[in-house]
Amino acid sequence: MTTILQLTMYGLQLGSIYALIALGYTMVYGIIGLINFAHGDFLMVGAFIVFFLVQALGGGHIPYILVAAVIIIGMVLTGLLGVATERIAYKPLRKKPRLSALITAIGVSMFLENFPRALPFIGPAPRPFPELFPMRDFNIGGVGTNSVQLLMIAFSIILMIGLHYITTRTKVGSQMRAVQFDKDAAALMGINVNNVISITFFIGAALAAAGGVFYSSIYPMIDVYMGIWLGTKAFVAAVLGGIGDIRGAMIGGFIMGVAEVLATAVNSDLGYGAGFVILILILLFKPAGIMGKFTIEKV
Amino acid sequence: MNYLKDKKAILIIILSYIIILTLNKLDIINSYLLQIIMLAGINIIMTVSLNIVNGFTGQFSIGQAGFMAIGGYASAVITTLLFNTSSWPVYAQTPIFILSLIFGGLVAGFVGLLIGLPTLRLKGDYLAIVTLAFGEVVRATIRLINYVGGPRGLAGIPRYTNLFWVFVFTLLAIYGARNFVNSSFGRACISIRENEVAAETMGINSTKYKVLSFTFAAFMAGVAGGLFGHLLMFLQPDTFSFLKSNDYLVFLYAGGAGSISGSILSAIVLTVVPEFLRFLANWRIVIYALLLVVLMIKKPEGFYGGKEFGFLKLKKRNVTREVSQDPAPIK
Amino acid sequence: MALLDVENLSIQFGGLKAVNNFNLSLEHGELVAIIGPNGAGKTTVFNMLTGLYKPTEGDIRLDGKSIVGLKPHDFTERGIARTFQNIRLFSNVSVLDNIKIAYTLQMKYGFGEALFRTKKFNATEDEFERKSLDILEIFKLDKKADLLAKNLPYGEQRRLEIARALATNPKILLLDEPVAGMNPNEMEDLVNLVRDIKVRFNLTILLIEHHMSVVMNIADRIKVLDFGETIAEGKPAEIQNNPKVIEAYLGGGHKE
Repeated sequence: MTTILQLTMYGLQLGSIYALIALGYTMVYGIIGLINFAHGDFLMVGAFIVFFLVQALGGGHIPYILVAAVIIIGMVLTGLLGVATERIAYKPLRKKPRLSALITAIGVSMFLENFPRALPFIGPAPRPFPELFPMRDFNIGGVGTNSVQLLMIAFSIILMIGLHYITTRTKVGSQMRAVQFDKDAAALMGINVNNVISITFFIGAALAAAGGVFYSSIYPMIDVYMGIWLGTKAFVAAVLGGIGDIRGAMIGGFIMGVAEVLATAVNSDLGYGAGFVILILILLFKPAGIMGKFTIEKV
Repeated sequence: MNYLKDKKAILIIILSYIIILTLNKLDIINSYLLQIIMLAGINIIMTVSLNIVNGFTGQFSIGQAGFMAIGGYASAVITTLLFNTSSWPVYAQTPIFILSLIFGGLVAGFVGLLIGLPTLRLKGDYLAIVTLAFGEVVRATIRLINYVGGPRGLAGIPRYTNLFWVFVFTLLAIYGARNFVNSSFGRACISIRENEVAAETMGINSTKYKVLSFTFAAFMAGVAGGLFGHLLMFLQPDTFSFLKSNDYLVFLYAGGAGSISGSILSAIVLTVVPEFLRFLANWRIVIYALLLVVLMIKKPEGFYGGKEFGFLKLKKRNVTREVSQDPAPIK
Repeated sequence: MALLDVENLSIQFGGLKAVNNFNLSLEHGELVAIIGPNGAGKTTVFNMLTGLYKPTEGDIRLDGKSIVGLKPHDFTERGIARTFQNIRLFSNVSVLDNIKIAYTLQMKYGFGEALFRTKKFNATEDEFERKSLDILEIFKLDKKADLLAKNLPYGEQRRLEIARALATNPKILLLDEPVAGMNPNEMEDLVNLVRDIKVRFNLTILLIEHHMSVVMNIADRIKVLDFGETIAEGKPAEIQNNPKVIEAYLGGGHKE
C-alpha cells in the first residue's frame, strides 16, 4: 500500500510538470485554435537558459535566492521567445487554413531543436543539469517523499492558482477569455487582440520553461530534443482534460503523471503507452475530453 | 481503359525506369543512390496514402507511420519468421514476397478499420490526437513483442524490394488513388471535406466514407511498410514514431494536400535533395525548417496546391445526350 | 395518410425551448410556407425535419413510417432534401461535380469496380454525367458546368443549391429562404423556376421565406412561427389579415 502511495507521489510530481506544460498548449489552442507543436521546445529552451545562467554564476550550488531569480529570468526570456515565434511565424497565417499553421508549427519546432544543435557551444550532446533545490527526505504518514517533490508540487500549484487568478479576476484575464470566445467581436469591443494573443503565448511559454526546469531537476540530463516526448505527453494531457480548458489541462496533467508512473512500475514500455491508451479511452466516452465542451456548429 | 490513353506518360515512366537501371549498372548511380530512389518511391506511396485521408477527405490524421509499421512487420513475419524464405528457390520468393506485401497491407487496413470506426466520429483536432496516440501505441506495443525482436528490432529480412517492384507499386498507388478520387467514393470524400453538413444532407453517410478512406490509406501505408522492410532488411519500432509521421505530413502539405501530383513531387524532392545537401551537416535541417516555415507563410497551399499533372487528369467523359425537346428552360 | 406527418415536434436547448409543439400534415403536391420573424425557429424546424437536430419531443412520419432519430443521410435516402439559409455548396468543386455528389446515393458500383474501372463503373459514371448535365440545363447552369462553385455569381449559387437537392430524387423539397439577397427580377425568375420544378419533378415543397410577395404568390398554405410557437396558419389571404401575424412582424408585409 505504501508503495502505491509512494508511486502516487511520484505521479503527482510528474503530473504537476505535465500540467504546467499542458497549460501552455491549452491556452494557445483556446485563443487561436492552433496546436502549437513547438510548445514542447519552449521547455527545452527554458531548461537551457537556466543551465547557462547557472554556469555563468559559477556553476555548482548557488544560493536559493539566486535560484529563484535564475528561474524567473528563464521563464521571462522563454516567454519572450514565445511572443516572438507567434509574431513571426503564426500571426501571418491567422486568416489562412489552420493546417498551414500546424505545418508551420512543425517547422518552428524543427528549427528550435536543430538551430541550437548546430551551434558549436551547444551541440547534440546531453548535459547534466545543476542541482537547484535542496534535497531532504521526509516521511509523511509512512509515505516516503522528499523536499524536491514537495517543492515542485507546491510551486506548480502556486503557479496554477496564479494563472487561474489572472484569467478569472483580472481585466487581462477577461480580455483573454473574450478573445477566446470570439476574436472579431473582441476586437470590435476595443480589445487589442494582438496584445492579448502575445500575452497568452508569453504566459504559456513561461510556464513551459518552469516545467522544463522542474523536469530537469528530476531527470537531470538535458539535450535539445528533450522537448519532443515530454511535450507530446503534455499535449495528450491537455486533450485528455479537454483542450482549451485550463482546469482540464491541470486535471489531465495529473492523470497522465500518475498513470504513467503506476504503469511504468509494472513495465517500462507499458508506462509509455499508458497515457495514450487512457487518452483514447477517455475520448471514446467523452469526445471533448474531461472538461471539454464542443461548440455547436450553427446550421 | 481511360488512364492508358495518355501514352506519353507511360513512355516516360518506362524510360525513366530503364535509365535509372542502366545508370546503376554502369556504376554512375551507386547502390546507395539507388536505395534513395527506391525510398523516394516508398515515400510517394506513403504521402499519397496520407493525401487520401488528409487531403481529399479533409481529416487530420497524424499517425500514418503506425500503419507503415504494422504492414512492415506483418509482411516480415511471413517472409522471415514464419517461413525462412531466403532459403527458398528464387522462383518461389517473388510470389511469397508479393503475398506478404498484400498481407501486410490487409493487416494494416484491418487495424485502420478497427481504429477508424470509433474515432472518426471525433472532430478535427481530436482525431489528430487519437491518431497520434495510435501511432505511439503501435510503437510501444511492437517494443513489447519479443517474437518480432522487441526494441532491438527484426533483422535478417530478405532483400526482395528492387527498383522494378518499387515502380510497380508506386504506380499502382498513384493510379489507385486517382481512380478512387475520380469516382463516387472520392467525390463523397471531397464533399465531406468541403462541407460535411451539406454532404450528409445530400445523402452521404460521412462516417462510412471517412472510415473507407482511412482504411484504404492504411492498406496503402501497410504495403509501403512491407516494401520498406524488405529494402532495409531491418525493422525497428523506434523508426515509426511520431517523427516519421511528421515527415509525411510535411511532404503532404508542402506538396499541396488534395493534389496527387503535389505528393509525388514533394516526396521525390524532399527525399532526394537532402541527400545532396549532406555537406551542410547540422545546418541542413535548420535550413529545411526555415524553408518549411517560409513556404507555409508564402504559399500555404503547397508547391502544387490543388492541381494535377496531365496524365492524372481524366479525359472528359464523352456522353451523348438528347437535346432537350422541352420548351426553353426557365429564364 | 399525409405524405409527411409532423406531430408535436419540440426541441429544447438547455433552458431554451426553441420550437414548441410544431404540427404539420403535408399532403402530396402541396406547397406550404413557414414564415415568422428572425429567430422564430423556422430553420430549427427544418433542421429537425432533415435529421440534423434530434427533437426532444414529438414525431416525424414519412409515408406513415417514423423517421425521428435517424441520421441526416437516412432522411435524404427516404426522400427529404433541402437547401440552406447560408449557402452550403461544395465551393472548391466544379458545378457539375456538386450535382454528381448528390447522386452518390444512386451509385451502383463497388469499391473494387471503381479502382479497376470496370464497364459497370464507366456506364454508371456516364449516366451520372448525363443526368447531371440534364439538371444543370433545366437550371440554365450547364454552360458553367466546369466552373468552381465558389466562382458563380450569388443568384446562380442559390440555383445550384436547389439543383443539387433535386439530384437526390426527393419526394419533399425544403427550401430555406431561397430568394434571400436577390433583386426583384431574380426573385421572379426563381419563383417561376420553383413552380416549374414542382410540376416537372412531382414535388411537395416546404418553404421558409421572409418576402411576403413570394409567399403570397406560390404558397397553398402558410404557417406562422414566433418564438418557437405556431401563432397562425391558413390560406395566404387569411394570414395576411391576421392581427397576431401583423403584430409579430410589427407591420408585416413590408419585409425586406
